[in-house]
Amino acid sequence: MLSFGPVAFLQPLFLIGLLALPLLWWLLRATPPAARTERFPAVRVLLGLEDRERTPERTPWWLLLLRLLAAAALLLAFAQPVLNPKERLSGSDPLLIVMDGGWGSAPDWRLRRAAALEIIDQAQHADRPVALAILAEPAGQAGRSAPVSFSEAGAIEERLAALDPRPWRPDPQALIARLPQIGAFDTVWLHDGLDHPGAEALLEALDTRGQVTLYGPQALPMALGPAVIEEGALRVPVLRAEAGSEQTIAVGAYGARDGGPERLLTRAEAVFAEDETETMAQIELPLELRNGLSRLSIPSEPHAGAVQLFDERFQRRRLALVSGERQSEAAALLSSLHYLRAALDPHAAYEEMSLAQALDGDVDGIVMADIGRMDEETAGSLSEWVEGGGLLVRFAGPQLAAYAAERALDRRLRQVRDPLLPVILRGGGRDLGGALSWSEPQGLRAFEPEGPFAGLPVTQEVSVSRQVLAEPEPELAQKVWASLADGTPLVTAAPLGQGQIVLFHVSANASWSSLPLSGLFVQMMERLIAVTPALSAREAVLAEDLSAWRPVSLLAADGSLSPADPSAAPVTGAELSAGVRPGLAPGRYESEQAVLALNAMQEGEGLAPRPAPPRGVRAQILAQTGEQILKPPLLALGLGLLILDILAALFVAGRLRGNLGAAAALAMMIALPVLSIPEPSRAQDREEPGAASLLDIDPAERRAATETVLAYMRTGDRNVDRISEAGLRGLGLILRSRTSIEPGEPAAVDIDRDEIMLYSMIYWPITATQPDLSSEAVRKLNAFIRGGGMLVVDTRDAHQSIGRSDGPNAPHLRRLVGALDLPSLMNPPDDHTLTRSFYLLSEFPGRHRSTNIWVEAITPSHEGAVNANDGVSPILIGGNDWAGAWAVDEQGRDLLPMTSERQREFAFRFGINLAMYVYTGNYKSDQVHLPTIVERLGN
Amino acid sequence: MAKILPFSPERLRADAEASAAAFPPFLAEAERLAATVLMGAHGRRRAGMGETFWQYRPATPGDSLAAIDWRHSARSDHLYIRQTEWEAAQTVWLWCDRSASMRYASKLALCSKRERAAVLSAALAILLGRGGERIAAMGTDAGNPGFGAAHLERVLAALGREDPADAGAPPSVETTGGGRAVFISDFFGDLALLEESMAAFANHGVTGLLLQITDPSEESFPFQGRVRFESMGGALTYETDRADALREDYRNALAARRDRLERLAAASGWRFSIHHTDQSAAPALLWLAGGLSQRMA
Repeated sequence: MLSFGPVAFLQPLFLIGLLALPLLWWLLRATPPAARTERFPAVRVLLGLEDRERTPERTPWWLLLLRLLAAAALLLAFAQPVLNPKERLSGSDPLLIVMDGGWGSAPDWRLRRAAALEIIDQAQHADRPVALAILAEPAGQAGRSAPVSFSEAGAIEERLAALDPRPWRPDPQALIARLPQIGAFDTVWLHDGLDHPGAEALLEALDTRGQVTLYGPQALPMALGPAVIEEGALRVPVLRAEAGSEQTIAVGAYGARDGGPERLLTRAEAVFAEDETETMAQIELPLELRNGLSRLSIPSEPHAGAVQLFDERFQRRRLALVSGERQSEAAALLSSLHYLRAALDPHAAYEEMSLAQALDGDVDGIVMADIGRMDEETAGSLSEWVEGGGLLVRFAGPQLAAYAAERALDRRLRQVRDPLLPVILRGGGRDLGGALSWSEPQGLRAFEPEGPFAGLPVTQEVSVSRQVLAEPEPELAQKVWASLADGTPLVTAAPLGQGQIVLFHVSANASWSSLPLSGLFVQMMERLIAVTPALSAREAVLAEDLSAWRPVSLLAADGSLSPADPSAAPVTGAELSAGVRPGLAPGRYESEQAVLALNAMQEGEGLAPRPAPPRGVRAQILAQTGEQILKPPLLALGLGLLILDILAALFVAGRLRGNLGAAAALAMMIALPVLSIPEPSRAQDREEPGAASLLDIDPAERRAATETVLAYMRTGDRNVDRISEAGLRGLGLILRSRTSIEPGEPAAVDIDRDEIMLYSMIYWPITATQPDLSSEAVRKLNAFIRGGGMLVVDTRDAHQSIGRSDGPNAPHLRRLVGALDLPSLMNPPDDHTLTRSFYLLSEFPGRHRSTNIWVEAITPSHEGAVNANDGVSPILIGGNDWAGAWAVDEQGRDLLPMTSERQREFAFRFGINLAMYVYTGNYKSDQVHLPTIVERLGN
Repeated sequence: MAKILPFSPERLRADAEASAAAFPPFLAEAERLAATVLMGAHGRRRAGMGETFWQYRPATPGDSLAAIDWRHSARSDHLYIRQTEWEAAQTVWLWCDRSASMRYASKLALCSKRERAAVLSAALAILLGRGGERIAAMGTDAGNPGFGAAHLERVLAALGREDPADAGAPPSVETTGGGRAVFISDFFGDLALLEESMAAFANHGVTGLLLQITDPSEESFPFQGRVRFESMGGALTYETDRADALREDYRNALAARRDRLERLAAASGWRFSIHHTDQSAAPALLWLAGGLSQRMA
C-alpha cells in the first residue's frame, strides 16, 4: 500500500503505467483521426484541385489531452486508490471487539459492522486471536454466560455478518464477569455514544488489561418518551442525549384508518432550546384519527428508541349506551340513542347494552339516556364503578323528570343529592315556549372556561324548550359546564370518587331541544370522549399479574414492526411491567383481555451521553464516510472520457456536422450516468405518503352527495355493467327532458368499497357471476334499504321464464338478494303508486314485458300509514331488463333492439315513474289518495 | 452503391449472369420507354429509297422523266411522281459505358448511372430496330452492325453485361463509313481516349450524340469533413480534410470538363447533352431519338 496524504493506492504497481503516458502522447500525436472513405466516380475531376484548408496531419491538442486523461484515469483506477484509508491497528496481543449492539447502534449498524470486519481483517493479517462480545446479546444465547475466549478470526467474521442489533439497551455489566481471568489483550469498543449502567466499570476493567480504543458514533441517537394525553391533546416527550444547539425534530404519527394499512397521519415538530435535552411534541389530530394511531416515531432516527407504539390506552374509548326506553325499530329517528350513536360514531366504539352488561364489561364510559329509577343493587354497583374512575354521562328525559318529581315529593330525600346525579333536581321540569308558557325557547350561553367544552363556538341554532332544573345550592356554579342564556344549567358535572358524573339537562333526542340536531352536539361528545379515562386498559399490567402475554408484533432495533413468531414463548405481566431488558423486545403483547404496547423507552427513562473516557483510552469517531474506494468513479471517468473521445473523433472526421445538437445530447446522455458517482444507497429511506389525502373526500362521493345520481351495482360482468351504465344514462336523459329530476352521469357502486348511503336508488342486475355478498355488503345494503334507499333488482330473464315460473337467474337472485333483510313482498296492485307517480301505467315493461314484479307488501297495518320507508317500497324485483331498454350510447342512440319502439317508450315511462316514486315517495303516494283526502276535507 | 469487386474471370461471369438475370425488368422498362417515343414522333415516315409505296407528288421541273408515274398521271391533267418510302438502313454505333464508374448511385438518385445508361441504350436500340436500322453495340460481342430481331436481342444482352474497367472509354472501331454514333457515359474517364474515338468516327464522316449521365451528388458534391475519395474501381484516390471547402472548386472543374466536351462535340459536328439520374429517362430518349432522326433525313 502506498499513500499520499488522504489517498492510498492498494495496487501501486499500476502507477508505473503512468510513465508510459509520454509514449502514448507521442504515438497519438503522430496519428491523425482516420478519414472516412467515400466511393466517388468523379475523382478524376477532383484530381487537379488544391485543398484550400488543409489542417495539420496531427491530432488536435485537445483531443490528445482527452485521450491522455482517459488513459491516466484508467491507470489510476486500476491502482485501486482509497480515500481516507482506515487507521491500522498496532500491537500483537489478542484483540477483544466489544459492540454495544442495542437499538442505539441500529442507525449506523452497517458502518459498525463494516468497521468491526475491518478490524478483524487487520487482526487476521497480524495473526492476532480475536474475540467478539456483543453487550446486548441476551442471556441464554450461545456464548453469553461462557467466558470470552479468543479464536481464529474467520468464525467470528461469519458470526458478525449474521448479527443484527437488538431492540433493547446493551448491558455492559454482564461482560465484566465473562472477561478472561489472565492474560493481556487489547480492546476495541464500538459503542453507541449513550451511557448504559455498568459501562464505566467495564471500561475500567478493560483498561487494566491492555490498550482500549473506543469508536463512537458521529451523532448521538434521539428517542421518544411515552406519550401522554394532557388537556385533551396528545403529547410525546422527545429526548436527546446531548444539549447543544437549537434543533427542530419532526415526529411522525402513523396509524391506520378503517382497518387500512398503516400510513403517516400527521407530522409534529419538537423544538429543542439550546440547553434542553428534553422537549415535547404536540400531535394535532382529530380525535377520529387519533383513535387509529398506532405509533409515533422520529423518521430521521431509524431505531427502536425513537418509536412509541400505542395500544388501546390511546385508541378508541369503549362506551356503553344504555337507554331507558323500549326498543322500537320503526321510529329510528325518534330513538333517544339515535343522535348519540351518530355523534359518537366517528370518535368512539360504543355498544348498546343493559346497565348490568355495561358494568360487567370492559367499558371506559357509560352513557345513560333517560334513566330514572334504578334498583338499589344496580345503583350501588354503578356508583362503585364510577368511583373506580369511570365516566357516567346521563341525559334527562321523561323518566328522569318523573324520577326527580317523585324524589322531590319525598320529604326525606328532597334536599339530598342522588349520588348518581351531579345536582339535586327540582320536581317537575321546565317547559319553555310551550302553549301554556310566556317564555321563549332558550339559546345557549358561552361555555364555562373551566369545563371541557371551553372554547366551543356557541351556535344560535340550538334552542331548548324543555329541561330538568337543578335546585340552587352553593356548589352549583362549579358544577356547571354549560348553561342556557338565562343562566339555568344545561350540562352539569360532579366528581364521584375517581370518576365523574355528567348530566345533560335535556333529552338525548330532539324532543326537548334541538341540541342533538346540531353539529355542536357532535363536538361536545368529542370533547367528552377526550376526557374519558382509558379505564379498560388502565390496569392491564400489574406487577403481580402472572397471566400469559403473547407477543403479537415485535419491534426490531431499526424501529420496524414485524409480526412475532407465533411460537414465541409468552411472558407474564409481571415481566412486562418491568420493562424492556435484554431478551424482552418491545412490541405489542396480547393477553386474553387486552393488548399492551411495550416500548423501548419507559416512563422516566432518559438518554445520557457517555462520559469522557479516562486517560490512556483512545477515543475515535466512526467516520460516516469511512474508506472510500475510488476505483469505480475513476473507472467511470475514464470510460466517459473515452466515449467523449469517440464523439470528438467523429466530430473531427466531420460525421457529426449538421446534427451537432443531437450529438451533444447523445454525449450528455452517455456521459451523465457514467460520470455520476454511485452513492451508497440508504436502506432506511422510507416513503411516507402525504397526510393531506386522508381528509380528502372521494370525488365520486362528493358528486353523489351534491348531485342527483342514479347508481348501479357493479356486478363484475363487463357487459352487464356497460348496459347498466348506458341504461341509467338513457333514463337520465329522458328524466332531464321530461321531468324536473335532472340526474348527472350514472355512478357505478362497488358494494364492498363504496359508500352507498349517498344514493337514493341502486339498479342491481342479477348475474350468475357476481360473488356472494360479504357480510359487510349485506350490512350496508340492509342499512341502505332501511334508510330510505331503493334497490331495483333486475334478473333480466323474463323472456326465459314462462308465466310466473322462475327464470334462469332466479337461483342467483335468491343467493344474492336473499341474504338481505327484506320485508314481505307482493305483486304491485293496479293502484300502486308506481303505476301513477308520473304517467298512468298498467305494466312495467323493459326489454321484456313480464308482469312478474315484486314490491314491498302493503300490509293492512301500513296502509295509509307510514311504514319504515315512508310508504316507498325499499325494493323492486323484476326480470324485464329495464336497463337494456333504456340503454343509449354517448351520442344518445339506442343501444339494444326492442320488439317495438312503442315498448321502449313505455319502458322509459316506467323508468320515469320509478324515479318519481323513488325521489318523491310518499308525496306521490298521498297524491294517489288525493281524491279521498279532498273528499274528506270537503266534508 | 454496387459493391466493387476485384477483377477476375469468375467474378465477371458472375456479374454477367447477375446482369442477365436482371435483364427482363430492364428490357421491359426500355420497351416502355421506347413506346412513349413512338407515340410522339413516328420515326421514318418520309419519302426515300425503298420498295413500299409512299406517296404521289406533283412533278416539278427538274424531276427525271423516268420518275413520273404515267399510270397515275393519266387520270388527271397533272404529272405525278410516285415516291417509295425511304428504306435505306443507317448504321448506328451505340456505345453504352458499362464501366465501374457507372455503377454509382447516391442516395439522391433514382437508380445507378449504369442502369439508366442501359435503359436508354436498350430503348434506343429497340426504336432503331423497329425502324430497321443497323445497330452496333461498340465494345461488345454485338460490335458489328447488324439488324433483325436476333441481332437486337444480342445487342440487348450485351448491354446488360458489365465492364470491369474503372472508367469507360469508347473502343476504336473500323467503320465502313456512314451512319451515326451515340455515346452514353459519364465521361469521367480519360477524355483523350474519347477524343481519339470521336476523331476516328469523324474521319469516316460519322457524326453522333454525346449523352453525359451524372448522379445528382456528382453535381452538388454533398461531402463534408475529412474524406478520402476513391474511384469506383479504386484506381484513383483523393483525400481532403474539408470536403465542403472543396465544393466550389469541384463544381468549377466539372463545368470546365463539360465545356471541353461541348467544344469537342461542336468541333466534330456532334451534339452534347447532360442527363441526371434523378430525372425521368423519357426526355433523354426523346433527345437521342430526335438527334438521330434530324440528320438522317
